[in-house]
Amino acid sequence: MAEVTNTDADATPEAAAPETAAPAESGAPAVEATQIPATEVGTALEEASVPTSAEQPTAVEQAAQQMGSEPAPRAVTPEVAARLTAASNPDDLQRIVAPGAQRTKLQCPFKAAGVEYIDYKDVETLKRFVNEQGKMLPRRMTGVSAKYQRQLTTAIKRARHVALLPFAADNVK
Amino acid sequence: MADADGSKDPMYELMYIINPVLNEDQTKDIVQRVTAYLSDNGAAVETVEEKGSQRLAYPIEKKRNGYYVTVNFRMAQGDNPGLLKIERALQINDDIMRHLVLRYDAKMERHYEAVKSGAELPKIAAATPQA
Repeated sequence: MAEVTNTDADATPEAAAPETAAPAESGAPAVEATQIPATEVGTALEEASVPTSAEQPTAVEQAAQQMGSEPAPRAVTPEVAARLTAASNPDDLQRIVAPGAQRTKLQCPFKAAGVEYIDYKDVETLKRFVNEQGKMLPRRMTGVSAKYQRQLTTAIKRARHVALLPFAADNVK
Repeated sequence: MADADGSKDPMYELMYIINPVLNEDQTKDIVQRVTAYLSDNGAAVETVEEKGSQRLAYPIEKKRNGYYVTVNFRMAQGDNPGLLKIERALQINDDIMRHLVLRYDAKMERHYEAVKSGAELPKIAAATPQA
């Protein structure tokens, strides 16, 4: 008895899920489909089709939140993973993770701030353009213009020479 | 030797790291000796800034700390043996673990003046992701 109704209830939300998720993101249906049966099977038994429509907005929101807070399940290289942990802006994540994602134009931080000379002694600034291993980040991730990237490389290399920056971080133990 | 148009000699910056094992007097002595040696070899020392003992980003000669000193001086550019002598002396001195000499261009000189005058330096916006 219970078995039969259970499968019934399972089927309805799953069928409804793709329709609601279609306007949202491509990654959303999978998340939603797994969420609804797990949490809502018991209540869905009695409340039939009405609650599913009530649940829809929250489920979509949850899916959207997940999209924002976590990388999409794609092949993530270590470099990208490092970037992901470093970056907190969800827009950034979308841009980096999705291969075909639209490019948002990055502004050169040095040009925007009106910096003329990048000082090798200014470690705090230099650290932003270096990953956790101490490697320099490519321009495509930081948006630094070619002019300033040239300055930045010399500044970072000078800082490394006088042990203000590491050549390689020893976080791998 | 000033340039033909009457401008000053180029500014140089020297940063060196002194062995942290030495005591205060010895460190002071080295700073003084380096400064004196610069003057003896035709450099007009403008500022000597001791940043003090700082942690190194990686160990040098098995030491984890170093005493940082930066010196700014003006010196005639071109065919002069002064700088070579200075660099050689720094290289030989066992208590100086690292040194770096830069000659300023116009940009760097402007930056140096800005730092010296205590002006607000342009800061990079926080939008860039931070590690």
